[in-house]
Amino acid sequence: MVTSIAMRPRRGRAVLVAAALGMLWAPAAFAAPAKDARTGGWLGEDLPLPLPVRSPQDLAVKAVIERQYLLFNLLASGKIAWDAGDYATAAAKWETLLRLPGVDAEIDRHIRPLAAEARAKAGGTAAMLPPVPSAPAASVVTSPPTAPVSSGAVGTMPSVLASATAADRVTISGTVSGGGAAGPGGAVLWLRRTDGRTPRPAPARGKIVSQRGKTFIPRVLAVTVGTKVDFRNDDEIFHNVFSLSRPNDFDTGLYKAGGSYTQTFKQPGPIQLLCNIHSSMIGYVYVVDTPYYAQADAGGAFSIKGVPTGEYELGAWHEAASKIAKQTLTVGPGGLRGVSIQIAGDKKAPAFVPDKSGRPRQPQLGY
Amino acid sequence: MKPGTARTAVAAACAVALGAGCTDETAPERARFWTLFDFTAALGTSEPIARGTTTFPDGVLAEEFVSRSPEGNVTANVATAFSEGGTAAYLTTEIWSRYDAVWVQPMYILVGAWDEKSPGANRVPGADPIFSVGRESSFYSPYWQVFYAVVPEGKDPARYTSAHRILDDGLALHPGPGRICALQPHEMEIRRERPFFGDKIGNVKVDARAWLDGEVVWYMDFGSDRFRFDASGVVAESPLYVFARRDERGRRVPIGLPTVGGTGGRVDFGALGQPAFGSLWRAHTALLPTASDGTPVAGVFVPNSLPELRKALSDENTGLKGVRVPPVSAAAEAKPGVQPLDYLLRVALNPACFEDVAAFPDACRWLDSEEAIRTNLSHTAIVRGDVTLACAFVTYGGRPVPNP
Amino acid sequence: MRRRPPVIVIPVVGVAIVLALPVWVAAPTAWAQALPEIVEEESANEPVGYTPADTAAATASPASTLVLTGYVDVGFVNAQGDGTSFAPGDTRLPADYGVDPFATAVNSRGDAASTASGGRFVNGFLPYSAGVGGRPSFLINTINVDVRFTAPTAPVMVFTRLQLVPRAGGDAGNDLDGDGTRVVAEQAFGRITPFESTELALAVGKFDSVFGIEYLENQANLRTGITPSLIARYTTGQSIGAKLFYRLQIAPLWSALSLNAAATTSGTMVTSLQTPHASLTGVPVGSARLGYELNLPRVQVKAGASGLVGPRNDQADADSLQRAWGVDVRVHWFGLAFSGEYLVLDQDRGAGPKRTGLGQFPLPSAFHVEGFYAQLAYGRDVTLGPLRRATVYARGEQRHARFEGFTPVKVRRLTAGLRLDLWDSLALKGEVLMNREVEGAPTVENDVYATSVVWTW
Repeated sequence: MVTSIAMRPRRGRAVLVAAALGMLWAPAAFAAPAKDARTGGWLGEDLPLPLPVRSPQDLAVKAVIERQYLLFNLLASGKIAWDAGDYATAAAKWETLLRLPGVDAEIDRHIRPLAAEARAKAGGTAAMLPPVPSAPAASVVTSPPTAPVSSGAVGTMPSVLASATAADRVTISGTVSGGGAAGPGGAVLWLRRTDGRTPRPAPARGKIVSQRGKTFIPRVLAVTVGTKVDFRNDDEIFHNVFSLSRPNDFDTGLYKAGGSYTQTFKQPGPIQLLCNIHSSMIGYVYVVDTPYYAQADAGGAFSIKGVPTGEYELGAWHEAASKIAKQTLTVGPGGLRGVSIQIAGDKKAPAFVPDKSGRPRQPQLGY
Repeated sequence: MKPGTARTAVAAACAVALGAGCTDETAPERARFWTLFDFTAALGTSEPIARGTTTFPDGVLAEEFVSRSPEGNVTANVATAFSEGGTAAYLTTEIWSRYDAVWVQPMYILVGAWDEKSPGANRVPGADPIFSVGRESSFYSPYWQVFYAVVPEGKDPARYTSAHRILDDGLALHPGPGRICALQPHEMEIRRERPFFGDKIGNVKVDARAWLDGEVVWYMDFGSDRFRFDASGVVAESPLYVFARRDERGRRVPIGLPTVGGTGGRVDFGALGQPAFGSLWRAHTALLPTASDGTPVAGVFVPNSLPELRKALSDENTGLKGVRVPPVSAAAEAKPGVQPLDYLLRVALNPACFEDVAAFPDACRWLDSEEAIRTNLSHTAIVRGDVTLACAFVTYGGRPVPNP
Repeated sequence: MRRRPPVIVIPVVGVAIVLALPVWVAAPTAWAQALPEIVEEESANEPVGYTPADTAAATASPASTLVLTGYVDVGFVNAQGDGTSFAPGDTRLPADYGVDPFATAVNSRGDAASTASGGRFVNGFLPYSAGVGGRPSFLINTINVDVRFTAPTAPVMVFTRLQLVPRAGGDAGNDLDGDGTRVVAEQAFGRITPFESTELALAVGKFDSVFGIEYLENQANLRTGITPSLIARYTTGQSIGAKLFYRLQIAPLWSALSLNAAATTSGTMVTSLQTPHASLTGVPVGSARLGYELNLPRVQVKAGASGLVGPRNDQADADSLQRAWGVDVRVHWFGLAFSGEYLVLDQDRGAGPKRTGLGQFPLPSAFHVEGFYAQLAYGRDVTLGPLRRATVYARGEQRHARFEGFTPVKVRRLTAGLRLDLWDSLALKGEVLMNREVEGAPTVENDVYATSVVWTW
């Protein structure tokens, strides 16, 4: 095609060049699932939603809203793609929907055959889908009823959304103790298989660390690798969030009230959050590389859901512990209750927090 | 901020913040000192030296210490005084106000080799001494301790023009005696005879050359072993009695009589008979007594051979106040063995003895020594002052002071 | 068949590839679908984070109501000669006018190994003395306790810093040598930050200097090295008064401007030179620093200009002034830290006796000094057993000082050292100070070898 261009008349040549380039573009344009543009803000998958967060309760409610929003968008965008004949996109959307934990059985009943048909029409390999959910039954006992959201500690989803997990997925629950004077609250716990490969977790969505009242809210946040965390300034003053925790070190730079900065954490481990302006601000993000993780509430209670049976190592990190506590577990079909793990409280908060060049700052100076 | 501005600001702030009752304290008086350079600069001005001190409330005119000839040459004056019952004369080179102490500083004399028995025998020919501290320093004084610095072989003596070079090169230093050397303006002279008496003073070397921090300076050399100093370098003081009266404001003001040099209880002489005291004086005002009607009791002796002086000192307006100038019996002053000029301007508490042939001069209660003053005046009449003076004797006991 | 001129074909092919390339890069999923998929499992767990209900109760947090911290600084030092800068043959008086008696510093306080002048008269220009002379010696440099109280419902903070300084010398109450054991209330102040939306802080009490930057690392556990610079004695003293700090952030430029200003009894001189505990003149000393910060992600540049004016607080005349100005700069770049300051200070001749934190002396002479330091440090995080960080540093500095009428003294010093940080609370430091008398002061052997172990709790 290209070699014949040279001898054509000039105008015809230009048309053929455009056509050639257009054909080069076309496969990419039709093969890639097009990212839906925001259409008035209701059809789309982009999260997080611009809802204000002023307290831990706000965070919990926002998570609920965003889940429902995600379900709706996957349903609707798959249908729109189906109607437009874009079966690959429709298949991808509905397969993503079906892979979400805790999807309602009725939704599954309607969408699963459509997803299969769309996949058949589009070609390609269908992603592995979870089995058809069984009839709603008493779920495996998860953690004890969580403390009221108003206490500020939320370690599990509200019970209305607690899934009836698949038969081969169980829940591990227990209590972590220790943590020194700060108590065990906020401890991050995770499970890694010792009898096989631990699956790589999908990035979590909608994670926010707010700065308000010169504090980080939440103070400790656990996320999976690849998660984008939105650092949002809900104060009336400037902040400059940074971390020197390698390899996840970052620097948001200065941003004012209402601004935000998104950082993707690609490596597991703890990340100490500091503010270059306010030396009293300190927080943590802990990045796990397993989908089986949780955070303890103020009393130390935790619950890890969706765990396949097998042999595991339970790890626990706390900001007041100098070492990660570890414990081996055998997870059977009935799950595990009453797991107890002790973390040390041997690490105090640093006397001098550094600025982003690593220089220690005296807190009484305020600069 | 200009001088005075800070104080004014404080006063204003006090007035605003605290209202009435807040007073601005008088600024404290500064320690100061004057050298021959300052005396020379004050010549011809109305700016007195040491004004505001307890000893000289109105200060002293520079003309007391230096004078300028019609040709413009400046000469340091010699002042007459009494000490230990005899006549003396001194030259004032420095005055300190509100100094509690004066310190001795090192001066260096270059020698080619060290001879303990004869330290000065190996002086490097043509090498000038090196002073260590200049007159701009608050710690300058004309009192030095000589250190003989042995110039190493191979080193050029001309290199040594400052103290730190001598110290840097690690020259061997051998301590010697104290020496009085007063920095002077170049080409300043001194009066070579005692006023009124005309007798010659000791051999004071003037306009001698030396080095200070790499620059040439000039000095008067009064010789060695003329003062004592302690282990921490503080020069010993002797009291100098300045006769005073009360003025109309009740202040003690000098009468203008010759001073009396005390010994501080230690009569010390050097190898050649030069006084080893009385080079650093602390002024003490000695208030002469008055009668109940306020008239002076003490009298100053003026021989009949000096009628103009008598007339000048007796003048009601310009003469001496606080002391009488009583008549002197010609027969008394003609007694055998009496040299009237020896008693010129000497003060006696019983001046009636001047007319008493039998009493004069032995029965006169002369105030011509430290002991006489302390014995004859009440202790409240003598007040230690805040002025110290460098006044090395140039004559003592009627004889010139030798200059070793 | 006619030959196609390649000159036209090749650019067209090239343009097509160039235009297609970003599309290829931007559309990975199109290609990825053809490759084996990496399975990512959606987690059934979505913790929303943890925030303690009562931050005041969580004493692991620096925002707690009452926080006690501190450090212990122990050293081993070896100073050459007799530990002073006095030369045996130098009998000029005052003895401290002809040398730099601060040169033989052995710890972060700036204490000299010795200030013994052999009985020669000194006039109050000496530092505190560690009293170890020229003998190698262990030394407890400082035992420090900081108490910080933050009011939970008001923008108020109270801070005190108490230090115990054990020494071998005499009674600290009449300690002209400055080598007596003493308890120092180094700082005690209250601070309010009245506005949430503004970086404005007002403090009243006894606090750190606002001049320059060296006061920021006045304490042994904060300082990169061991000893302070040759100009620290003029800029890092604590004094009593009122202080204001204001900072304006300029986000688009990643910058900030700051003003730090204070009115205090003695300005910024260290206690051994001027007492901070009372105003001898009744007029405070004003000092201030105007600063600029550029805070980029990997590079920070901070520069400032400082000034000081007010009566000398070592004598009683309010018209005898001291004036100083200085400039400072800090650059942090990928682990390299450079800091430097330049200072000029003038003091008028004073009146009356001279009073310092060490006692009373005869005469407050006029004084002039110019000095500077420049320090380069490179630190690297290291994980090797307990080792967390290693820092090497070197500092060059000079002080050119003159007391009126006295020979001007110029000294230089080169300092080099190593700092190792172990765990989170232990710092080991070793340093060598090479002092050189350039002008005016006689050459003496007064180099110092110092080590310091600082436990922070």
